[in-house]
Amino acid sequence: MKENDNILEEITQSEYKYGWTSNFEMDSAPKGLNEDIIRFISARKEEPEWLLEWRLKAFRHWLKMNEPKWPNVKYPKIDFQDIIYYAAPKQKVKPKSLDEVDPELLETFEKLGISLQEQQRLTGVAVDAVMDSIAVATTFKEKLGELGVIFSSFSEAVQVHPELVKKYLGSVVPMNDNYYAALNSAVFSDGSFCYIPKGVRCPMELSTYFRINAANTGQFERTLIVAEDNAYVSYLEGCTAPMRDENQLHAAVVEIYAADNAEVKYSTVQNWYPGDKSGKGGIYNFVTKRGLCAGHHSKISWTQVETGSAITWKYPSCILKGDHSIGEFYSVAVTNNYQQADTGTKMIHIGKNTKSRIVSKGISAGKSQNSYRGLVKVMKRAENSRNFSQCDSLLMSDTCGAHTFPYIEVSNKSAHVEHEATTSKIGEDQLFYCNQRGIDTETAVALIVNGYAKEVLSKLPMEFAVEAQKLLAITLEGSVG
Amino acid sequence: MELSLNQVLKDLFEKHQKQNNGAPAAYAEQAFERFMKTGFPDRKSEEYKYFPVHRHFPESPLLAEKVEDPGAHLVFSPKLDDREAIHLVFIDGRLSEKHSSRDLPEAGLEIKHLNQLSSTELRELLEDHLDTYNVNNDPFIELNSSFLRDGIFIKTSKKSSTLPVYCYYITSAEDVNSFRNFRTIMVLEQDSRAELAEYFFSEENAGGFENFFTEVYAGKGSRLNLYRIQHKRGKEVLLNNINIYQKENSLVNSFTFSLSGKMLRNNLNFLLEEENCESHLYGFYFVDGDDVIDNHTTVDHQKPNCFSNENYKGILDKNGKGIFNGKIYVRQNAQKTNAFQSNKNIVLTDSATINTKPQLEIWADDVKCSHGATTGQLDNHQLFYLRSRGLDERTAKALLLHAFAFEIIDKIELDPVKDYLTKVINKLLGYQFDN
Repeated sequence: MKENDNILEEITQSEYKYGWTSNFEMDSAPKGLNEDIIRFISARKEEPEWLLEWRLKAFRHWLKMNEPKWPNVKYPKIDFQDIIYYAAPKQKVKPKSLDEVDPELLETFEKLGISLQEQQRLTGVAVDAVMDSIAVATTFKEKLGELGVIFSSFSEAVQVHPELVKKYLGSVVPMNDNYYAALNSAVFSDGSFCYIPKGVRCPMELSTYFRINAANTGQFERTLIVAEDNAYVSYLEGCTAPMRDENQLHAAVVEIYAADNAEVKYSTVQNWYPGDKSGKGGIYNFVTKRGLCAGHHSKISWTQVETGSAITWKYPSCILKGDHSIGEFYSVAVTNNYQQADTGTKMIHIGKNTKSRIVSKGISAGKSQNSYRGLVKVMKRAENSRNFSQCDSLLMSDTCGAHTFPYIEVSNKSAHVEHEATTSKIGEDQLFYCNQRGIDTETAVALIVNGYAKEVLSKLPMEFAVEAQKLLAITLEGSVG
Repeated sequence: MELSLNQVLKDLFEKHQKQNNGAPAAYAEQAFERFMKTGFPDRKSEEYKYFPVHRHFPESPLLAEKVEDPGAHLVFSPKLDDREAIHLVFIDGRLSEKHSSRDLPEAGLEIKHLNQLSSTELRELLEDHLDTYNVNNDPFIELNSSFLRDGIFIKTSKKSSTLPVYCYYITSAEDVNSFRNFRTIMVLEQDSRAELAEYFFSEENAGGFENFFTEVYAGKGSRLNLYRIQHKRGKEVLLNNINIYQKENSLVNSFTFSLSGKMLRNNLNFLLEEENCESHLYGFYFVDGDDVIDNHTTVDHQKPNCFSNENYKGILDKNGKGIFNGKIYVRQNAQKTNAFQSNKNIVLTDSATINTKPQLEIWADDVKCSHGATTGQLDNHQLFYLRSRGLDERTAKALLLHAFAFEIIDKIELDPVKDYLTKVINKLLGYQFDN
């Protein structure tokens, strides 16, 4: 048992590997938030009038709203006037191709292990990298263009396809949806826009990489994915940030719209800086993610691996409006040291014969608190809807906590809703079994944790599955990984 | 709306204090202060999210007047037990001597009626039991303490099986403004045993708001079976808080049967204060008509090596609205805890609703905890099987519902209660095979 404790302790010793900063000349707005800042952001991005109006409307809503208090997390009050809402690496001219992008910026991404060229050449993944608010480069655009797929930074989309952006922006997450979504709507600086036309199966996985680089900045990106009839896309998202003593705010919004027979797969590997061992610093990750299965037989699937952030607070949700639509949520959330996570999903069954599946695996270590919060709601007209939820928690120390708050609301008799949850630690018998077969305890812990999370990891696309496994190792397993 | 409710209660409380017939004044005042901090639950209160109690509280609440024997004119005989037992009948929270057992046939059993005691006597009696546990900050517990006057105190030291105690709570008041608070305190001394059945009953024209609070102190090595049967036909709201404090090696089995009630809410809280406690929480609810039945339970594991098991089942019919919330807390030093919970529901119509929230909060690592919740309708294959053997649809359904419900009823150890519930529930489900 003692030995076991040592290993667990060792596991908690590993450092954050993405904690460097890059030195760019930054073009940033002054600290603080008011209508002028919003006008500044909008002007800097050369946005049309309607978008500025939309932002201002969101801002006015936000002023009337109160910061939510219900999540099971504790943090000092955020001073929204002490944040820089816009920061962009300074570039003299707009890059036309990768060759023109600032070499240091490219180096940054190389450090992250996502060299753009590399990605382009070897994996065929189209990457849209967002650093501190603005999109840096989007690879593979031409190839996607041939199929009619639009994959660009949000600000570019506003310029080139204003009609599409106008139609879908805020259609899934309204600007006044919640406190942080309203904030994001007011100040979002960039993000990704993705549009898959009718009948197109996107041939490669689309990917966005987010990084907060500058100090004192908040990152507020907005992702909008639209899949038309019979379209398919798999979308990946990754995040890192440098090590800093102060807390930084990240409040993003992701909207997904799926028409008839469309399928969208959204995978996240979230590795924002979690703060140091004493809980100092780290990112506040307050994100609104929602998908709308508008058409019949549409499908939205969320997969997330959450290892970073001082505080994570997000609930990727599915609104199952179309008949026969399907929503899925697979999650591994790891918390260590003083991290706090309150994450889960919402499945709203509106259409007939809708199905949803929730698999959530929480792992808590150190002095962290890990919560699952989920809602399964079956509306009156959702005939024959099905839901299966499973949320398991694994506790790795006696100072951490695991909490589950599943809400189940059923108003239709033909609905079948099942929920099950377990909480336990790694069994001594399991460890013994491994030891007995010559596997040392350290490896055994890694083996068991990976096995525990396998159901979710197997849902990730190849490239991400590898990265996610590594991240799990780094966050939890110290020398084991 | 909610602000004015708080004000209304404040006025009422001040009036009540002036009359000086309440519990120890300081105790009531502190409780009321705590109440004012939380305030009356409104639609934003998480704990009362699905149970809109603020809409059903009387606009100008009236506390009950003192009456000689409120049951003198009533004919009442729903006695659950024909054998020797102790029956206590309360009408609108006041003891009816006419219908209750007069003397206590057993030594080692002490029963006192709180409103027959002076303030001093009351304070002395309650001294050790005024430190109320309120983990979820329930405002009705505080209200009950603020208006503490009516109630009963039961203490047993009997080590062999005692006579069962039956408490009948009958609502006869028709005034929608009547506001009744009632406290039951039961103390089980070391190694004692007891059976307590609480039966809530009303006729169609009953009304008002009832705030019951039962506290059970289960001493070292004690064993208790606690039965609660709620079969209300009136329009009154019943809010029932139950706190159970368990000491080392004690065992408590709690049974809650909510069969009907316009607005019925149970907050059942188990506090496992010492090691090796065992708790079983069984529940069955049948929600018919426009009834709203809400069962909230909390099991708070504070010490190592305790075991808790919860099994609640519900059937939702017509426009019924059922709510279940089960919390399990495992505190940091409550290692080696085993805590299980299950909630299963059958929804019979499209207009019925069930909201269920099984909630685990765990701060210890060496534990085994699980919960499960299911909601569905009757299995068509099972129905088909029965139909193909010649049962008509109604009978087949009743048979399946009977099987669903009787997993809970079978656990009852007290035969008269079991027989009574078997009869009543079978009738509710339309099941005609037995008897």
